Amino acid sequence: MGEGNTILETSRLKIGYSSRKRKESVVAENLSLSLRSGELVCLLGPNGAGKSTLIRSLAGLEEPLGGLIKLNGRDIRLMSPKEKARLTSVVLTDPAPVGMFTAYSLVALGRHPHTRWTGSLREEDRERIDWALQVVGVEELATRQVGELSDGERQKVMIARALAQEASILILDEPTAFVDLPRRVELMRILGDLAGGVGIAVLLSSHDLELSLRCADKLWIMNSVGEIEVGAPEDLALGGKIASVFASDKIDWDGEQGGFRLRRETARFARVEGDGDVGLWTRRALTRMGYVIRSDGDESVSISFEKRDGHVVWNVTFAEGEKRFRSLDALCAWVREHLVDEAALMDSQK
Amino acid sequence: MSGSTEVTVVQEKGRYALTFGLLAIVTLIVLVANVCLGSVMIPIWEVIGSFLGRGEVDPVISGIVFDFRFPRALTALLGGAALAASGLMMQTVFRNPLADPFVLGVNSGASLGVAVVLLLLAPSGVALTQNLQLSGHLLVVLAATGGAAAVLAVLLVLAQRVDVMSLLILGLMISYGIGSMVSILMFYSMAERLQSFFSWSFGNFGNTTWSQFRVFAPVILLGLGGLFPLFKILDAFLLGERYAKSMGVRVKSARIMILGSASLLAGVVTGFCGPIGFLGIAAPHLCRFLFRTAEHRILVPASMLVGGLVALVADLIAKAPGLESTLPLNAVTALMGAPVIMVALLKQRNLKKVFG
Repeated sequence: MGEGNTILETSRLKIGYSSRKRKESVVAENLSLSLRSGELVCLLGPNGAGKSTLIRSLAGLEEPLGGLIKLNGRDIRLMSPKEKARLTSVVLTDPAPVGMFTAYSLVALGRHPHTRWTGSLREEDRERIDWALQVVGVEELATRQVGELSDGERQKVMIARALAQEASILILDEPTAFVDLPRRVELMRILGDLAGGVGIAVLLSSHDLELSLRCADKLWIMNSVGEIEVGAPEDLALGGKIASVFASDKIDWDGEQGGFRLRRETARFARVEGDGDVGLWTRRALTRMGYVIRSDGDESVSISFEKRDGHVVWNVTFAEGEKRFRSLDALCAWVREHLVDEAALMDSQK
Repeated sequence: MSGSTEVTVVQEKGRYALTFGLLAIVTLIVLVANVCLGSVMIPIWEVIGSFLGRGEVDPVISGIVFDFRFPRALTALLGGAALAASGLMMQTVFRNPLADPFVLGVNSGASLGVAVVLLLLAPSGVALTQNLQLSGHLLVVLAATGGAAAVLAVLLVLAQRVDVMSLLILGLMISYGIGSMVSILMFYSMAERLQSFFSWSFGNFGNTTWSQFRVFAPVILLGLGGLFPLFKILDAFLLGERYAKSMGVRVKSARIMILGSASLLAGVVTGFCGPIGFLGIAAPHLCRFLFRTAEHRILVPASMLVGGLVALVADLIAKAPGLESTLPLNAVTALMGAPVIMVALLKQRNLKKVFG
């Protein structure tokens, strides 16, 4: 993607809320962040860390408590709303109840900062709207009423609206929140392509750590006290930053798998022989049961499988003998009944 | 793809134009009917005759047409248009399908203003007869507009602090509070003062003489004309204030401008014609139902037209042609408006679609 121009820059930014009576409540301070064109940046952080506040402050929708936000090198406080709107467009979590708009008219709203007071669309406006609909892949929805669309479709139309605004920065607050997994991957793909292809800067907040790790050019990881770590996802993972922000007493970061797993109090070890999809899902099932997968001879149970006449048979070897299962469900039920209780009993005796 | 979009756009334009055309024709017919029908039935050729100034028409008849029927019908047309447009703007800004001047207490503000003038100040020297002179009537108008503006200002301040649902409830509470102040004023008032306040509060398009219409019409037309530059901003407001801001709208000044024109329109109509409920809610919903869009460049003119039409029909019913007596206008609009809202809710469920 190369070194893009820095479009957005903050220095000593302090965000939060202030009201006349109470003292200001600071969500984060001393933030020095920057966004370059062509970059897809994911803002991650636990619930309540202040991601939405940061998103809204950077989008110019909330006044920062202090510090500076610069767009293209200019202080946004000195810009007119229209100028800001031509540089930054947003997709928010706010419900957008424009059910009786067609998708086309909703996307056309994005031309707001470019049209005259009548709001009438010129040729170049129509071209940009068509382009936005096409990039996001919702041309065929253009004449449908927004109220009839699914959550995923509506989210895409909202992204198209933001793109029609022709800004250099696209800021999205939880764009994948109400969307199913395949659609989520598709949305991230679209946003990544947009950043790389059109050369805009895309900043989005997300809860979806694994997807962000795979798609983002850069991560901003915000911890619960409002400090932000910036870096390539891979660097942050290797440096243990992700583990330190997200891991808790219930959840462990698995550095080798690049994901999280539930932490169990008791450590039980299992060995799984064989690879491929059956191997993967067998390991998953055992991990879910609280086993740590190993192959160093320390394991209390060993599982192998073979395919016979199109179905799989699992073979479980344990201290007292051997047993066969035709589904992972049956295997898990048996393990739960015979082995886990035993292990728990042994733990409690220690 | 852009080809098919264009085809639909053309189709839509055709559909809108057709609906507008039909509505305009129906409105014209009802306007003529409104002039013809009343306690005295005037045949249509005599109405036309008195316009063209042909000799055969009875001067009494042409006097009724010119001095009473015609200003009344035009007042209904403009007043209905103004109330509908005002209601639509309230619904958009508050993002609430039930918002209208009446629900949010703006009308009670106007009532209080008028009650203060008619019930409190009147004994101490304001010239007040059953037929108010221009200056006296203008005082009522100013009081109503001022009262409406005061309540609206309070709502605007509250609107910055609370969410929309709370605002609606606050509006209702303000409405109750002001209503009881009006009750107290009424309780201590003389019967003949009460009579003039009552007849104001039933609503009536027939109070405007030509000399008053000369004030009424320009103010309403100015207020309605002032909405046209707001279409684009109103559309942006539908997405919510944050989105509107992100698209370059100066939200605070826009909100003040929109609600200011809404209060001007509602306040002026209330001042001249009394508090007329339900038109402001019903006409925009009827238009959403007819035009199936929430875009303001369609919806605002459509609401004006439909508001004028509904007001003319309501006035016609209130005049109860062929009967000896008349009906209170307010009761007629409520009887017409409430079913419209109920049908819109039950059949379309589009309130949810429009307002989330």
